Amino acid sequence: MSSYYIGLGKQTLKEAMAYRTNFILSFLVILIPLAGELLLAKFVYTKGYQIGTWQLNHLLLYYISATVASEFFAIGTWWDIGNDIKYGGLNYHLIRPYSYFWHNFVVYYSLKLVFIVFALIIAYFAMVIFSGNFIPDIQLLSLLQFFILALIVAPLAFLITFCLSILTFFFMDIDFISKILGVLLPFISGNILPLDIFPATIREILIKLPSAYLVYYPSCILSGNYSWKEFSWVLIEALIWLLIFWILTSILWFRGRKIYEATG
Amino acid sequence: MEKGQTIELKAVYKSYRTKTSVSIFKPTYKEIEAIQGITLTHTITENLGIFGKNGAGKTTLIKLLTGILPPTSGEIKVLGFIPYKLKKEFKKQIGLFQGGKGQLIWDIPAIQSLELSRYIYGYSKDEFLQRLADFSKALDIGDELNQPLRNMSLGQRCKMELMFSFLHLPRLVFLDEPTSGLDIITRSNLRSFINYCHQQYGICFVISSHNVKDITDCCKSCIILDKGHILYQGDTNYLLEKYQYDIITINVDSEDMAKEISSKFDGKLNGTQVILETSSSDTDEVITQLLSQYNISAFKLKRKDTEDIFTEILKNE
Repeated sequence: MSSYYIGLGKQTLKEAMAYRTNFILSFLVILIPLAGELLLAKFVYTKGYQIGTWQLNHLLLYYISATVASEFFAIGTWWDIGNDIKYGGLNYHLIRPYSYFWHNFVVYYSLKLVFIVFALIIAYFAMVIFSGNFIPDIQLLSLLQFFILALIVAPLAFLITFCLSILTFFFMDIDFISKILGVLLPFISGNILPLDIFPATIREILIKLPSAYLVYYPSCILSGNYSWKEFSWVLIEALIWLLIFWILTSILWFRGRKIYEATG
Repeated sequence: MEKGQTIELKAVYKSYRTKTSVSIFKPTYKEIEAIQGITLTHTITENLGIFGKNGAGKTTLIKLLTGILPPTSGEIKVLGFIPYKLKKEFKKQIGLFQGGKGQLIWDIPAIQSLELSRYIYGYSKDEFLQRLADFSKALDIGDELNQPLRNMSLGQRCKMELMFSFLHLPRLVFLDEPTSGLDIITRSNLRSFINYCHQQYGICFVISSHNVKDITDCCKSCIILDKGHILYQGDTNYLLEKYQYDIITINVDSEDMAKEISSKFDGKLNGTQVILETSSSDTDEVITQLLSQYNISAFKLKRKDTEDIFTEILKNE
């Protein structure tokens, strides 16, 4: 069966590249917000202000890391799953000998792979431009911790996306979730500002939410030095969220299948 | 009868709820009884046709048999499995095609999309190429294989989707309205292809359609569904013979003679014209009698086509 997921990944990549202009210009979606954030941060610091306890070079590295992390671990509602449920495309998936969850996981990350590569290239050049060094100022330990965390957070991000998308079983149209997430997520995940600059009460809540594990913690790990003890706690908490969403998704899938209308 | 060779339904009911009015505060719902107590046994050595009007329950029945939907009550066993449990072993042995519902990727050449079949079901590239060549020949497909689906006509897309549904050579394939929206030539090609695959590869097809020829050309057995009930279950040819009537229209010289013929053969009178309905087995004898006993000036014989027969069965119920 693993050969199926490899084959599916290859086909999905080919599909993503079917429209070259769209494919190539997609990097602007990553480049423009990052450029805005970096220039704004630099402007704020040159005027003599400071954001929290962050030094400018660390903050710039945080934003660059956040760009990479938000590509690696983006969440939302996924149009493909919602449509499968709403219009009956799920019928074909149900009768085939593979897991619908892992099928979508492969498609999702195969499509993401393109953006992740773009994000890494842009991040590298941004680091070179702002630091003046061709070798980015990232500790090997930080990189290692980031990739270990990615092994937990990548499935968590997809699990949250899958979980939100299968709410279509119950609501049929879940556009409202996309809209709410579109407004809230950049703030609560730490994409716009590092979460530790918020007032203590809000910060304590935000850093415990699953969204913090998608951008804030991976970016902090890449841009700062986390001890193994601190890192272990982050990892354990991410694992707990993974377990919670696994259980939640299983319940929603089981209940959703019971009321699935199989339209068409 | 070997259990793994059958489709068995015992007192199967399926109902679902549908919204009848849209309201923010109090939407209303209606319970639809799509399948009402169907009991059926079919051995998969022969194709099975499911015929019925729109809303008869054909597609719901296919969804129950494939395990896409659970029954509200009753028992279903297909190839020895309970479909709704969707066991991997069961899924490997079935295929599904739903007319008008795409399953292939639009933007890449069809052949690359079709190749996913071998990844899903785990057969070799050689087998894939051999089956593809065989299916393409039977369906008269050439260079289209190298085109993306988005550049194909409906008929070509339909052929590709159909191939994808059973390139893995399952034992049982469910075809839901396979010829819907296609022209006469393409329909005929698809029916020939289905028969070819049945004979060549031993695939059993369960075909739901409101196109009578799909059933009569491809299925030895059939069921006729109406409002979730089975009206007929059995041999397709027997059904055709049982309901086969000929319509004889004759013109005679006088109204008296027409009246006499009409009363003798229980016909319909229209001036000097008489219209007689006879069962096909009696037609020869009736014609012989008419020609020997009366002076017939004009004569027309029409055999009811299969569509008329199925329509009549549905109307009579």
